[in-house]
Amino acid sequence: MLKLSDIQVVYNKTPVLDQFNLDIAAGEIVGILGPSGCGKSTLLRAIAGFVEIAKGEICLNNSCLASCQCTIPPEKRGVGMMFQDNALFPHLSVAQNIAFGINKLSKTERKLRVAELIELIQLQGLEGRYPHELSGGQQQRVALARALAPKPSLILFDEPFSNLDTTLSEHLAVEIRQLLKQQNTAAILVTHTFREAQLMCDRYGTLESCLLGTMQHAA
Amino acid sequence: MNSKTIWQISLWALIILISLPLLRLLSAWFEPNTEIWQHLYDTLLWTLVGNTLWLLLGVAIGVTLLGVVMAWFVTMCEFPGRKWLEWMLFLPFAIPAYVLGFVYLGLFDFPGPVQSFLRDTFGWSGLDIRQGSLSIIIVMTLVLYPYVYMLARNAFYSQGNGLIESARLLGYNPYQVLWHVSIPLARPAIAAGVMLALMETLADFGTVSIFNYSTLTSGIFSVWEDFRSLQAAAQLSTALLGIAVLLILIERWSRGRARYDATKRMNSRPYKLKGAKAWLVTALVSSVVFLAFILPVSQLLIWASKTLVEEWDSRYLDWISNSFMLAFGAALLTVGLAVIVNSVRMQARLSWPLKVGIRFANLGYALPGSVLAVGIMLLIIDLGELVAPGAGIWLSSGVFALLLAYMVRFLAVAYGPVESSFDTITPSMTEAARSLGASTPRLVSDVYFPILKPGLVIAGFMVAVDVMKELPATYLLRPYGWDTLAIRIYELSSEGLYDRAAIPSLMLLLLGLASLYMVHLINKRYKIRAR
Repeated sequence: MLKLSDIQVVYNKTPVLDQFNLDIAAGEIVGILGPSGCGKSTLLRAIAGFVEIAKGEICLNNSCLASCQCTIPPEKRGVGMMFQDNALFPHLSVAQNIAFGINKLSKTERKLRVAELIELIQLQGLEGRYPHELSGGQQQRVALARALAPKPSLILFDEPFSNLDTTLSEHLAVEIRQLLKQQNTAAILVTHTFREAQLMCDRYGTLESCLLGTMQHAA
Repeated sequence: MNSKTIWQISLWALIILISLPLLRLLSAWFEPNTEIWQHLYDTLLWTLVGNTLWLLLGVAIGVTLLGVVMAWFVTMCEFPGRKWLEWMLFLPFAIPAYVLGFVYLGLFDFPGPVQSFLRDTFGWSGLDIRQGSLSIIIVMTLVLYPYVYMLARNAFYSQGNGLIESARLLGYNPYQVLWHVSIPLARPAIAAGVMLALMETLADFGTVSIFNYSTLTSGIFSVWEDFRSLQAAAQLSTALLGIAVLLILIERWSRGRARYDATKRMNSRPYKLKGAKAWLVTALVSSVVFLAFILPVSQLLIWASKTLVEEWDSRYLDWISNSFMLAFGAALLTVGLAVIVNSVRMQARLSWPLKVGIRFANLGYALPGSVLAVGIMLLIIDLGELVAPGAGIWLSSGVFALLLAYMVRFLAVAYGPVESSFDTITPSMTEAARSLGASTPRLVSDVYFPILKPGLVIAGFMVAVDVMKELPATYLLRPYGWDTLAIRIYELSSEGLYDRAAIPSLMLLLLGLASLYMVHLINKRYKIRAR
């Protein structure tokens, strides 16, 4: 479904990623481990479209997102993304945040989809709250619901648990895995915590092991 | 040319526009008018400089004492009426210094009610309160202490309870805590507040001229009116500018490397005062509110009720609408400029020349209105002569010059709130919106604008209030027939018609209070959301 072939990303004239290949099947969750500064985040940002690639090709569902000839802007890629700080819009309520990406649907459809997602993340009754009135874990779930709302076939997670304590992050890792599986959404998780990758992913490895094709499969 | 370059170029154009009056002023030294300058040097100059420095010193001591002590009482102590007094201490913000000046003159001068009463009852011989500098220092202190109060109060609140509790456990009494913990930590904030108050003092023209106290600012007017020499006025302006720059340097230096990132909140007051002590504090704080707000406003109301029929005429509608239009236009332009600067700042890391340029443009707040007016007049006459003979006169008599003056002077006022609301937009919010399919127009209308809106509105109100109160630049640059409320107050009070000046003063006061209240409402509504 997602196919990265021979990607190179150059930053300040030095390649951050070089000759990178990765194939992900529909609904598959892949974890990429590594210390900070090794290019994991750059990889996600290249897939999302915030960073241009110098060489290679990114294809999603058999259409080209980025190559040397064409670059589709992030807003037209249909790739969801979760950020370290959740990036919830502070001026919008929970329901409005979730509905942000599905503004093209009709009003009733939008309402139904929001209600469905609120139920999925189990935040019934909190639709009208603003982000600062939620706990860290709740904010994370809202961010996930917002990313899931437009039904993207792929969601990118950039160190989503780095601001949470270990117990909560392990709990959320399992929960998010279930939610993704229910929606049959593929995902890439970037993290420096082995345990999170183990709990959430079908397959994981370091950036180098991706290059070598020696990723491990979770039990 | 891509859009980033266009933004950068327009930013440069605006920075140059803003800096030109200042540069033009400095260049006045290349065309010295030696005769007048020599005359000034021999007669007035040193008196003016001495008076100005003396006034600054007095106001600095006054506002520091009053501002810090009031802030400490309302943040650290519990006493009867604290909640009310805490916000009433802000009210003098709405009173222009020249209004308080003439009210105090009317009340306490020789023919005023207080001295008449003392004379009749005790045979008191009387006192000329225009003599010396004490009365004007008191008036300026009462009007300007809120700057120090506001910043010191915020600083004290953000220190949190923990520090004070640990100091107390180590055996410090309240005064030692204040002296060794609270004040050292709040020092940068206090210095910033004092600096704002001193800039206002330096720029003041209305109050000093009502009290016949000659400072550099009023000297600029005399030179302009007596000698009709813009050059000499410009040269005198540079002396004023020198003091302003000196003040900025002192503030920077006093701040040193101090960066205290205290973001804690005070959740309870450490000192719960009881009995006589508590009431004593209440009395002390109330007396400040009384002297700085209740007394002058009551006097204005009494005067206004007597003269309303005599003073009111339809020209007031013109003056009000002029005040409004200028305030609205200037607010729009200034906030717009602050938005452009910040948009460029958000899009890319600024090159250092741009950073320096933005700093420089923000210095306008340190430019007294009179200095600025002289700079703009010189500039416009030059520019006009370039285009066509006589065009300069035409340009300088239009609203354009006045709006430019306001923009230069009040950019710093708008910049603060606009900058901090831009800072609440994180890069990840932009990326989140993009990854959810938002196009650029939608990003601006559904994400940026709603997040920025409270900050922009607050900035607009702050500029508008300052513009309505502004006197010297308005006085020098207003087009013929474009009188405003502030001008009317100045005209009436300089002729000693205090009771009639009460009417436009109250109108200005009401507009100021309404704006202050709007800012408070917006803050309250949005503070909770944006965190």
